[in-house]
Amino acid sequence: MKNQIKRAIFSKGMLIVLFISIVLNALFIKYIIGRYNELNATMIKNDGGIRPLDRSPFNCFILINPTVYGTYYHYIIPLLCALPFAASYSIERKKGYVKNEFIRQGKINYIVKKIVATFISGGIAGSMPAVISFLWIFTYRPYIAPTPASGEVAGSNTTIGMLYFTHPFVYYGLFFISMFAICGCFALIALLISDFTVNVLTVLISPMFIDVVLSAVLSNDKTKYLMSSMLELRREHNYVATFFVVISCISFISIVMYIHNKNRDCY
Amino acid sequence: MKACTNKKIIIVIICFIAVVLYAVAVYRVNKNTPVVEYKTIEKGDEVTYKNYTIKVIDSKVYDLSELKKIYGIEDYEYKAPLEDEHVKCILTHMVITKNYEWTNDMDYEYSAINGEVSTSTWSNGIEGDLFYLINSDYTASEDKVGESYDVMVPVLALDIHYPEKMWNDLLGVPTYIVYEYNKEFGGIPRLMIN
Repeated sequence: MKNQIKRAIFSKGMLIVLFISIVLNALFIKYIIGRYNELNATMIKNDGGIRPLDRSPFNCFILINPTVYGTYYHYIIPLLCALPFAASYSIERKKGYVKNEFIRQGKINYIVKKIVATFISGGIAGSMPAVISFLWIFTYRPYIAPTPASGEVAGSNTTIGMLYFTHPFVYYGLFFISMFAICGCFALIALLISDFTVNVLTVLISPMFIDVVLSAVLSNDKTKYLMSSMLELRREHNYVATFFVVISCISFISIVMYIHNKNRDCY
Repeated sequence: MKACTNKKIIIVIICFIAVVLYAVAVYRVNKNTPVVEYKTIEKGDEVTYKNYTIKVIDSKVYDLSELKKIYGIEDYEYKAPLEDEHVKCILTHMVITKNYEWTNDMDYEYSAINGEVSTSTWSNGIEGDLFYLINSDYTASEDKVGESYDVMVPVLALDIHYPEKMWNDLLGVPTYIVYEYNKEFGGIPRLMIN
């Protein structure tokens, strides 16, 4: 287990994710600081000073600020989740390495380890740009607690949504945990696909493809239960729904992989 | 084995340096930022500023349509940014006593109260037009030093943005007004309702 997780976290895919995170966030920070300075100059000219609450870092990181970089990030999240480790199973099957592992540690044991490692690596990879952005913005903007007066809200009408105003760090802590779980599920979707194909490209883009197709096909009411929609902070999403979606996803993928591999001879 | 240990030590040192640099960057940003002081004026409190003394009498939350009927200002138009947003108005009854003679370099706090400038209050700030319509007697009068005036400060807010609990707090007794005092811009108080 330890070996699989180590391979997943210290993979080349994770390095690529780290690189994408840094580039995306650097562009985002450059844009947001430029816009802030512009706004500040206008406000000083017109009103005598910028509204101090606009500087709150809590409403100004990549996932919730409506910038083009946030939109890019939102679309590539499923791809980032699949990058580090999701395709490893198909690669191992293609090379025949998987047979050695099956003999050494047993088929089911190996698949369980694969599922856990993929989930963890996917969670880290998907939420990495958001976490980096959240930490980075504090080096540019001072700590100003969010208040309703600034018109900035997140997850309103929910009990957890209230934490945004009272305990913002706890709120974001919970949010990142739920994000980790959702991103882990995206990676598991790719792992499931890798059980049926050895084409790496298909495996990597499959979560993104499924997400885009489902978003296009489902109605607005149902779309909010999609995993990608749950990542939208300003949506009035429900953490209980997130929990059920994540658990259902993990259970479904585990069961399908178990059934598919139980009596399988050809890899 | 030794090479592996060295590698770990290097990684730990790099992480430590990164954490220290990050902490220093965050500290510098917060150190260079002026302290924002909040003054909370609760119902019944009286606060004396340089130019005004303000006493908060009461505060109520109305539907905008309801408020228009009360003050006979059906002509007043306000369009919410989104069609499905419902507009509410928090109307705070204050007594303002003037402590100064009017000059051209009038303090910002007067402007904030008078609704001439969009403030950071809620999402939309004090609506200047609405303020004038509700307080037409006050705005038309030449306020004199030492005299007190009843003023209704309207703040529009879109209820879709705010958690239900927050509205319940507002509708209850402990509604209060907060003045934000920002040293960065020469002591500009800004009206907020929280």
